[in-house]
Amino acid sequence: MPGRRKLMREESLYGWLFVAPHVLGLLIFTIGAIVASGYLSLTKWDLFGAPQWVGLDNYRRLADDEIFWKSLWNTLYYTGFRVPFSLLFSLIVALLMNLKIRGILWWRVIYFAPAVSSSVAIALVWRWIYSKDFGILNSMLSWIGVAPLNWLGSEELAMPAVIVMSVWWSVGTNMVIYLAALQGVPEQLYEAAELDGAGVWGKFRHVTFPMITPTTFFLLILGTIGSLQIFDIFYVMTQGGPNFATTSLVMYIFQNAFEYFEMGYASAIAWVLFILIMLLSLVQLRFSRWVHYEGERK
Amino acid sequence: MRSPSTQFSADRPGVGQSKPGYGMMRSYSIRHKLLAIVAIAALLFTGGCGSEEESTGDGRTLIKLMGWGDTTTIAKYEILEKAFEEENPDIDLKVDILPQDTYNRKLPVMIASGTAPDILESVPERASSFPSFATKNAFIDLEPLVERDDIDLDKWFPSVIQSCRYEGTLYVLPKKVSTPACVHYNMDLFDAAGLPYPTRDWTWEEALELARKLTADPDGDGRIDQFGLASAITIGYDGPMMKGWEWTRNNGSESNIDDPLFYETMQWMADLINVERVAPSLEETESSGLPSYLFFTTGKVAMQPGGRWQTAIYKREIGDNFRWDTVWLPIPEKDGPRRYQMNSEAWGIYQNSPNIEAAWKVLKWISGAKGSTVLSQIGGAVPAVKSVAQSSDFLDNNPPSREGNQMWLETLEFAIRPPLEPKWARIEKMMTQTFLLGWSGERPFKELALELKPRIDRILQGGRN
Repeated sequence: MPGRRKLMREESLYGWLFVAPHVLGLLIFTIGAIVASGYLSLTKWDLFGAPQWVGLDNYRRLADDEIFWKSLWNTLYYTGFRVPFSLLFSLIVALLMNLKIRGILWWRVIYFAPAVSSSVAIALVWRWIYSKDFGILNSMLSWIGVAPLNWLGSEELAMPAVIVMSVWWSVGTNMVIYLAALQGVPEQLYEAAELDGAGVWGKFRHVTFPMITPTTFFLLILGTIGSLQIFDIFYVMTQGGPNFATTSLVMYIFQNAFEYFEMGYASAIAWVLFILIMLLSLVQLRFSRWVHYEGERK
Repeated sequence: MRSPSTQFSADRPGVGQSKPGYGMMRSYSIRHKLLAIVAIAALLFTGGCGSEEESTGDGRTLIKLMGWGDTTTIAKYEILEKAFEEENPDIDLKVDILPQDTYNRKLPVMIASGTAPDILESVPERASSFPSFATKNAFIDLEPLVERDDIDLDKWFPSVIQSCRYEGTLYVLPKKVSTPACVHYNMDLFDAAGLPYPTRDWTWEEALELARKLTADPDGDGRIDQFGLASAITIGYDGPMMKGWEWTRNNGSESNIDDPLFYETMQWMADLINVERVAPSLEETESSGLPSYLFFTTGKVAMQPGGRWQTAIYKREIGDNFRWDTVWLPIPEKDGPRRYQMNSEAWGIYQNSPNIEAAWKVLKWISGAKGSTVLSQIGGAVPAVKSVAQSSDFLDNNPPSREGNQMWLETLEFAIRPPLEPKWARIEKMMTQTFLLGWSGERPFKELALELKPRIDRILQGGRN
């Protein structure tokens, strides 16, 4: 019927018109920038003059670049520990926050507070906590007889120290998301489990955990993507040191682009990171059969 | 790190979604359509507004100068601006001051986009930026203008003018010199400890001896409150340089950090902090909440190595609290050679400036005797123009004393510029990162230097890093 078709077309036109500014912005500033950086990765450009075409030279150079491999390793090391621990602790905290006790609201506020604080402010405070001669951590360790450790100044301890801080910080946001998921688990399932004789652990294992797997999956993917791109906390806490022990890939990109003025090389590293994140996300999606979606028939 | 909750709602994926029906009431009047179009147009056009610098409407030529500094610098430049515009009413000089980091990052971007100001500040000794700016045509060659207008290059100190050249071409004219070549010392603390004041020919060993005696814990709380030295004698890698160490050998293709002269000197300097404990560590500096050069003003250190840029601040901050003076930096060995690192600031004219003639007029004035006089009156560094630096105005009217100021002029004879290596930024970061472990006492400098050498060599030899 012609009237109905025209109606649909007109409505979709308006729809497009309304999202046009956002879509244009996306195309020009996001997709356009990505394509531009892809082109730049095949050139040599220091902002003076025009980019010079060098083909795959930048990528070949990456293969030999010690610091690139170190920063790649650092990023994977960071992600590998930070994501699982963050999920684990946020889940534990969320389970606790789900208890129906008085004043639980205040506890939730306390745990969520770091999430709304500035990452720079948090990093500065933690820098003090980790300070070798003046930090609280070494102070407390000295009560049990441990000599002061140079947390942020030692090649081995710097990364674990930052990971701990990062996990602590992430608990806030993730906890809230888990909380929402936990509260969405239907009561009947718990009743049914009790009838079948499940205890606390049984209920968790057979009801709670499977029901929140979509959330876990969501946080896993986003957590991985976010961790692979980490920059600000390293920049503030250790400036990438000591001896490049906490230089992440994004930090290395930043250094190449804005401290050494090698835009082409930086773009190449950025594309390697992009492909890495894509691959990891695809792998996670592919192996996601452990995620239980409600309403599916197995 | 972006919070993941911003983009997504908490919907569980996979729940069947029903398609929206077409049962809505449709009432798109003309008004609605018009409103929609206006709203979208407004959104699109807001993106187009920016501020364009127009030339001043009153017929004067607008010349923009960009430099770095802080609020005190802005004040200084205002005085300079006013003095210049009084004599040259046909030019409107507009000065923009940015913090150093921002300046370093913003300038190449401005040059790349063709919006750089007419006059640019630069540090001719900074290997990470000066060679690039010079060779990539950011600055114009000033020699033809100098010849045309009969400017006598001798009016500036020869070592400073030499620094303004890169591969023979003159790219910038000097603003001022800030050679790190002195030690400020607190006379009252010396008196209290019954020690003689340092003299021109004092050596590093003698400085260490004095520092040991001046380091104390006056309030007995187990923490050293008074240090002999504010830092390790000199800044950065000047130490080995003062002993005659060269950065590279084999025509710049090999790094020299495997030379014992380098790592032994650096180790000695780091030991001042970690072993001798006559200078505060980086952490102690941070914990005090003061920038390290202000330790001196609060009497926390007896000797503060540095340069004339601190002198003006000290004059202001110390006032009459205690007596102080400056003396030459100690030399490494008795009767040994004297070398200091040249550190100056200069201005150049941007290649694509629309008003090169007017910019040149400004540059001649601010870099010449008149500008130099104004700058030296507001203090902070040594004027680069000989006549101004040797005038009684500079020598007698500035702290700490005539001898102290006279010393500055003499240090210019010994100041040399380190080699300018275009890949310096990368090398410097490697060195800073690695040597941090040495400064904190975690690992010995010898180990670090030998580990680092092949990596630096690879960069020097071109291409790979």
